[in-house]
Amino acid sequence: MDVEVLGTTNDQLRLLVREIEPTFMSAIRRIIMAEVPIPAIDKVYIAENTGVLYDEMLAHRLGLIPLKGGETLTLPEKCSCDKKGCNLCESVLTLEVEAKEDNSIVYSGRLKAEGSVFPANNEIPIVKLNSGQKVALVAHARLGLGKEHAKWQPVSACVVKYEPVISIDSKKCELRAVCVEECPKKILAVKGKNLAVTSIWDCSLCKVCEEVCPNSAIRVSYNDRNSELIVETTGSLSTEELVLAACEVLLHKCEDLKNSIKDLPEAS
Amino acid sequence: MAHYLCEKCGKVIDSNELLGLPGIRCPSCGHRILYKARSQIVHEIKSH
Repeated sequence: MDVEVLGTTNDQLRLLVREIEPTFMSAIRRIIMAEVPIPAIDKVYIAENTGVLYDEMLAHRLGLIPLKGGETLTLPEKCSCDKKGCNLCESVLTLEVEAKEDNSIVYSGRLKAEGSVFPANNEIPIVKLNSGQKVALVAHARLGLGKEHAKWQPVSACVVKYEPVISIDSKKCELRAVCVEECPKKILAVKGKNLAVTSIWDCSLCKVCEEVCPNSAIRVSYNDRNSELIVETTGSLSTEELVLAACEVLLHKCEDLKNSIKDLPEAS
Repeated sequence: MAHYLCEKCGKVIDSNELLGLPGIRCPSCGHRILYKARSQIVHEIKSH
């Protein structure tokens, strides 16, 4: 296995992993999406809400705000409180706002953290209020998994892509450059007397070039032994933390399986 | 006990005060539009 970083930004990571089973990469992808615990608001106690958005909608919108700082919390399933909710597995946020003018928007930055958990982004609109309208609430955030509800999904996109393989038959190619124009990703170019691929990993395997080539000089296929993993975080955890956390979860699953097999009674 | 708000005078009316009146109307000003006031009990709302 050989890993290379193809590109990284604040919220996106592109990893190239060579010589790996596609099923293994898919397992990592699925764990990132569904089994890495992150915090999200789960219970809301609304004392006052004179805005037009009713309580349930307000609670739903609060739940979808990505939160940071859940490292100190434990999953309610593993907490000693037996899922009742305590300061080990829950963190409190409060919101108290009265609009001074019409059409004022309440953003996630107005949520005040009483514990370790706080919003990952301060510019997410929660509710729009008119002058004099009030919202006062207490929200309880807890850790959860993406398979329970999408609000606990730490990624907005998590994709595994096989390595594209583009083969160009220079004997058949007449350099009409129809494929260069038609390619939606613009990854083909005429260089000198040859057709060349400029950035192979941007190919989306759409095969438009194959269809428009009158001489069938270009063929697009893929190599599933080399994969690209694209992780785009919502902000709860960094992309690097997400990949590492997914590896940890997979490791624990394997250890659980190993221990279960060890505990089996020997076949007579 | 349910509470109502008069649309005109803003008075908070207990539901018992409405029982003796002919139809729904504010006991102090007689206005016939009443709103149901928000309950004082804070409920837990699950964020689904």
